[in-house]
Amino acid sequence: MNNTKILKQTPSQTAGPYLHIGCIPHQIGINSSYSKDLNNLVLANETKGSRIEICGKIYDGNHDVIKDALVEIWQVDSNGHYKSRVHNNSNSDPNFNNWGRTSCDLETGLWQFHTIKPGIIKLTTRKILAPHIWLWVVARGINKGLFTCMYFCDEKNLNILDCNLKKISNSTNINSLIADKVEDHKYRFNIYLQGDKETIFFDI
Amino acid sequence: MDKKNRDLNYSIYPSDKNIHPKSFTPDYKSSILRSPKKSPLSIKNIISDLSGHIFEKNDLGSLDNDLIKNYCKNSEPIGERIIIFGKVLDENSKPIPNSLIEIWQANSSGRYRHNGDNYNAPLDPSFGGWGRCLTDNNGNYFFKTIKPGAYPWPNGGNNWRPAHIHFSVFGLSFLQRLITQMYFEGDPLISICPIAQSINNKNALESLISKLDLSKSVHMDYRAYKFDIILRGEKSIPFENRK
Ligand SMILES: [Fe+3]
Repeated sequence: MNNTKILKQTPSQTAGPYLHIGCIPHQIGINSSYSKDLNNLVLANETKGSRIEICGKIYDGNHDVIKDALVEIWQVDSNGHYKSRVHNNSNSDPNFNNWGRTSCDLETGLWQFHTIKPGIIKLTTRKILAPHIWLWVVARGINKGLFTCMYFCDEKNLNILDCNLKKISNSTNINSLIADKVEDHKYRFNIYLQGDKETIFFDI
Repeated sequence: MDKKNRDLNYSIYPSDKNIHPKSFTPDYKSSILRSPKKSPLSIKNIISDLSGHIFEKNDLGSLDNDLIKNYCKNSEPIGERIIIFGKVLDENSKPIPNSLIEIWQANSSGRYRHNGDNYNAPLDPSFGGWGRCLTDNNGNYFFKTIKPGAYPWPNGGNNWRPAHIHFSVFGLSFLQRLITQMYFEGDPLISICPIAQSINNKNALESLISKLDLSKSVHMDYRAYKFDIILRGEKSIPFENRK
């Protein structure tokens, strides 16, 4: 690799207010020429795992709800596996996509996904990651997509063992990463861009 | 080193803080209330985060990358006909195949086909303003489109966006996910646009400006502009030291 030319990353720019026409036109009722939106979190009957709904709103520094954001998620299947192009993983659930995206509702700002509860990731015999879902948020006014990570309030015993949560156990607002349970199988994960409740974002 | 441990040491170069815009850029007013006050926390990524969604050729339609044709009604859209082409590479100069690219843009008069856009300029009945494609085995992509117009936007002053096309790029990994904007060589609005200027690095902003390339143009039909996209690179060898 010694002769490889190192290039500079392309800088990020805000997605602006009109991202819907490029990313999820059908979802907001645009008469698009695309046959379908690419927002792939579709559960088949055969998909393994317990069905859950996750939802939330995103708040700005005035505590106003942001209605024009796009949220993408990335999570393991019920057995703790990602599908991967980079690393073959034949153990992953062929009926689960790992990835999904949605826009916030243009009137209420609510985003939601129907997915499955992610499994535990076993890194080594002693290191684990508790069930979690990565989120990536873009919108007008956000210059570079924000990564955050949602854990589950009903997995306290596993959250304590989670390698990533351990690394940041001293940070304030660590609770910003734990989703509330609204009802059975339904979790709420609000995101606060600023203020007392500012969500923890990650540089991963 | 056994395979499992080697995989755990796979990792991706960090997001370059000298290149990307800061989150709080007050000249761009919308960033004031939408920028986290705390810096993002660094946690070293692990193998499981180095994967990303796999898109298939048949997810896309055959005209999805042709914005001249993909919303065309009776006659083709009005405006300057252009080709946008380039490569998606990682920092190691390695081409990234099979990466989804999505674009969206205003029409030739600067108006988006979006309910939120109230600009007086007319909609073009034959122009949607969106396109998508997958990169080929060598990381190449291209779109046919109409050169977008500049448009005014509310930012507290007499602000005009330079002509630009929004790009959403997937790469191979969720960590490579990028949304950006491509500009056009020679546009005087770039140097006074608060969004373009949110990038506080001359070379980095320059890398978003596409260059006229007549070698790829179509005789008597399309001019071509070249725009390469560089995503975070995977450290493919454990313990490799960066030059
Ligand atoms: Fe725009």
